[in-house]
Amino acid sequence: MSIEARQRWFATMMESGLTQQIFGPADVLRHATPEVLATNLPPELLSKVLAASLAAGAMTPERVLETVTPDVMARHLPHDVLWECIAAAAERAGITGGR
Amino acid sequence: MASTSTLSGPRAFFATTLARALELGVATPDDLLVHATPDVLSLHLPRGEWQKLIAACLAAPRTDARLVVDTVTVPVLCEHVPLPILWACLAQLAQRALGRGLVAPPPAMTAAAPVPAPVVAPPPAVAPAATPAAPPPRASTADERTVEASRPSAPPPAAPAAAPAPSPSPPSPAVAAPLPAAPATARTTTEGASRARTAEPAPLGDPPAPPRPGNGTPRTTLGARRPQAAAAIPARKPDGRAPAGRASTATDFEIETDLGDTWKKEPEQVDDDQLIDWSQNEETQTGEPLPGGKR
Repeated sequence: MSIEARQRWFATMMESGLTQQIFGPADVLRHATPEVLATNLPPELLSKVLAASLAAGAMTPERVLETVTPDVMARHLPHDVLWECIAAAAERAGITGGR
Repeated sequence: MASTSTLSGPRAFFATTLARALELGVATPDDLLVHATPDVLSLHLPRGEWQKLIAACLAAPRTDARLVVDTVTVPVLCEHVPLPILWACLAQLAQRALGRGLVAPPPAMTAAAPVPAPVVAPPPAVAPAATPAAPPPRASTADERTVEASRPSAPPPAAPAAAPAPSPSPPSPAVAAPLPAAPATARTTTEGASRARTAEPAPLGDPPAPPRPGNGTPRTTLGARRPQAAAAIPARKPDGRAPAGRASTATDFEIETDLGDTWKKEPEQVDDDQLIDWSQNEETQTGEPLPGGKR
């Protein structure tokens, strides 16, 4: 499996999870912590996140995810972190079951 | 037939992610049917979907997982298959994508790494003694380099390094004495002792037997050994290892004895007129003659 395919697949999972409300922006940032973001995001994206928050007057999870899109997450953040977010949401939703 | 757009919530999520996994090659139809087994499908898939599936299988020359998934479609599977089963399928794909799906986990591999048995195959007792911590504190000596150079597995850089290493002054007996013993004590094995023996210069250790046609007697006389002793002396000096300070070997004893016999066996015959009276010679007179006329 190529890295690009894996990135696109994780982007799809994150986008679908957000769209289907399996998890929300706050759930994402519970795993993609400030440390994770600061460590992995390139400087231009960090600057963009801060600039958007300064312009809006607040930094909210929703606003962060406007810049840190699912595609950006899959490209820059560790996939382990993204999967933890998905798995935790599935656990909360009770869809993991006993199997 | 259900489509992804008609699903919502977790089922839409599964339908999207599993379909995308198939598109990207992250998953194969077999990966889906490992979890959505025929038993699962028989229990949860509607009869209408079964009718289409059976018809497709009958019409196709070969029935495989791809045919099943293409016929039933991922949205229909995700619409009817229980969520825990879909989750198990997705989790397995994710674990594999994250590299966690291996049978042997990384900790087991790191635990097996320190065992270098297949590399060289030394005796088991050698491995604990020859820890990497022992050699670094002590600088390598000329003798060790000689030993290393004589080993078949010695790396090529060891030979150039040994050339400039010996100091121009002859080694003192106090330094030269413990050198042969150092490798043996560091390794504390019979291998070290055998390697120390290997460091003994070859010409001195075992004199070659020259071919002597017609003479089957062993070389027991000193006169018979004279040529070997004379040839061995210049080869020993550049080695820089003086006999003083270490136990003499049988070879050393033979060399010295041989030289002594050579000196004794051929006395020079001198006539009296060849003798010089140094007390009467002007060249040797440096001052006043001694009172007795002798020096």
